[in-house]
Amino acid sequence: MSDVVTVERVTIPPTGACQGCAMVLISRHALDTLGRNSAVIIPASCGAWSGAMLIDRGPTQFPSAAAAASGVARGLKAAGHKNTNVVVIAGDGGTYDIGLQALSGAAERGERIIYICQNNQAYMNTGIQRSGATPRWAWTTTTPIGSVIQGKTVWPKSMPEIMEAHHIPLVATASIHNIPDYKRKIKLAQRLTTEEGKGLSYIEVLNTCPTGWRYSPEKMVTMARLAVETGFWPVYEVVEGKFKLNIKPKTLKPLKEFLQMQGRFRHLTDEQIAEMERWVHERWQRLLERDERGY
Amino acid sequence: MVKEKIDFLTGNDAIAYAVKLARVKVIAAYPITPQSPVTEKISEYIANGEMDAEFIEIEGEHSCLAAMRGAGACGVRIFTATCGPGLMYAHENLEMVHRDRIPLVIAVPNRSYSSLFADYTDSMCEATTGFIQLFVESPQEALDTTLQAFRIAEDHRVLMPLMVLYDGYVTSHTGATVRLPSQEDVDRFLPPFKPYAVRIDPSRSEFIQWDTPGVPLQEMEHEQAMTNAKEVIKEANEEYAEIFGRRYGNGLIETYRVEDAEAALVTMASMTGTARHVVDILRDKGERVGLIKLRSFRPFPAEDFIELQEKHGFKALGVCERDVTHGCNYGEVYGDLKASLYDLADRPKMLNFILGLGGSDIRVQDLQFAYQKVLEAARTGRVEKQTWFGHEIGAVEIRLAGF
Ligand SMILES: Cc1ncc(C[n+]2csc(CCOP(=O)(O)OP(=O)(O)O)c2C)c(N)n1
Ligand code: SF4
Ligand SMILES: [Mg+2]
Repeated sequence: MSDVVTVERVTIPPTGACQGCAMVLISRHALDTLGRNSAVIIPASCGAWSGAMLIDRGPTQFPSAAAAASGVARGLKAAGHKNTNVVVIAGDGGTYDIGLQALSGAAERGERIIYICQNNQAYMNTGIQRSGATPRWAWTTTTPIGSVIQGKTVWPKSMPEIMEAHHIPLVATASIHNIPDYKRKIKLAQRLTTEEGKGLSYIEVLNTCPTGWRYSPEKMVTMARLAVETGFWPVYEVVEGKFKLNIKPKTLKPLKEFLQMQGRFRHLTDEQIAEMERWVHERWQRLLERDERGY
Repeated sequence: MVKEKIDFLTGNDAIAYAVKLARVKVIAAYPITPQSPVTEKISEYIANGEMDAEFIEIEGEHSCLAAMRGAGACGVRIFTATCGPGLMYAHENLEMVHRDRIPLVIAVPNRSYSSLFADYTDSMCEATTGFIQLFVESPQEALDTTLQAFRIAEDHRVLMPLMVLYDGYVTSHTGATVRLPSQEDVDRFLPPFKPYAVRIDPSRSEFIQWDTPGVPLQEMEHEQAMTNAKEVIKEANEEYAEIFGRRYGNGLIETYRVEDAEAALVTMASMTGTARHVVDILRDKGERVGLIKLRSFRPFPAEDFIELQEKHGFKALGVCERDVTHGCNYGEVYGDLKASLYDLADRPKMLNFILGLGGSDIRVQDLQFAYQKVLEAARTGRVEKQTWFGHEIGAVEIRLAGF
């Protein structure tokens, strides 16, 4: 057995992202796994700093990633191309908020799109403003720590559940501390969406963004692992309706361990931490039950 | 000899038929009054196997234009139709279609914003976007122009998106006799789309890094493309006439009884038919009046107007249009035409008639009034009031209960 593994890379460093940016891992591993017979659409977001690529990049504006991808998928079909992966890498803002309508439409139409959401829980590219994915109480530049209001006042949306309601072949979450699991899901999406034409696949990855979350870049992978081990970011998949919790710690670590590492949560009171932990544990319980049931 | 069928079609159906004849490959569309029948007809063609195309039943116009842009990037012939609020909603991606030099053809049955009926509030918002805009008068011209549109937009000297504009309801929903060309003849006029460069092509073995010029250079290049479009529109009009025997002036403008005219009106789209009738009435009375139909609003045929003015020396011109540029007290076309003629030593007095807003009728008496005013200006050399609104001369807006 040879020790040398050759990988046909699609992405070429360097990138324009911040030091310790997890988004770079998200786009690189997706595109390198899918290979050259692909086209990628990256709407306005930090993903735009993913660096050079050896595949064609499709056009899009911030609100229209999934719509542009629909056009590319149909255009490629009309031009006679077969088995080309049409990939979107969008931020949480471009997915949860301004791009939600386009994504919902594309999912309902069964477009052959592999949609990857890199969720850094805010509009980072424009300067850390809150999004529909920003956690409750988190600091952002539009949810500042004021004398009257401190941080975001509402819970985030459950985007993967919204996508599940579209009856698409694959809805999955992933974490950059477990790349093999992420790559497996990318390959699954390739089979279900590109090869078998069963419709849109949705994969959402937590993008542990040091710049926006206010922590030191070398802790990027630790942060991702802690997010999963505290239940803050459950990693699961729903493949053609079958549910599976992919990473299942026996007991969850205290949420505080994850929160206290980040400047954006520094102002939280013990009560707020306890309430967020309750919220996280309730969701975890629901997911455990689904895992038990298998759907 | 061309083979033709004669049928009774609305403007919308005529355009759908042209799209089928043009062998369009990808269509995305979202319904809006009065465009919906175009979309419905094309859906029928595809459902009945009469047309081999991808139809994206998109969830809104902003997405629609994004999808068209995506499909266009793959190097295939594309088409959509929208108007009024739909066109306005799509604005961001309309802008991007021209920046990508995608030769998209859009049919626009013009519609006002808070009325369902015709005026140019919608498309005039795009006067600076970089779309070629051809205003057509009848279902026949809508069909012919849609076929020409693909030739013009896809020409490598142009590569700019194009709107075929026709009056909502007046032309979109009113039936008229239309000569339908055969597929065979259309294939001679309109060969398959040959893209200049395909932006998304996964079969390419070499990777191409696309580099669009920076904004200042891009804008200059697009202006050149628009200038080129003037010639290409004329060529398409001539070659179409050679095959099918129908010609629309020189492609950019069309004149009617302008010889020896001391005053003329400039009209657009469906009001032109009424204006021809009024010219005939006035000519019978011995008045020296003529008519210029503006077919190409973008690119604006300044040179053709200059040539016409130099040849005929009109003493006064009146511009009739269904739009107003608020804060200027005139419409887009008036401003553009006045600017075009300003440097001439022998320039005409100019009046503006803002008619048909919100779909109000443009009546014979409105145009008679306009001719009377331009004739006065021609004879006295004075303009007492530059801009007249339809309301001031008795036009009545169509209003539906609840709107
Ligand atoms: C129509 C429109 N509105 C606003 C913007 C400005 N804008 C660009 S990127 C962005 C935020 C992106 O946030 P997200 O999708 O979460 O990606 P991230 O930058 O966090 O990676 C915004 C608001 C835009 N480009 N287009
Ligand atoms: S702001 Fe965050 S997501 Fe964006 S490039 Fe920097 S680290 Fe990456
Ligand atoms: Mg974000």
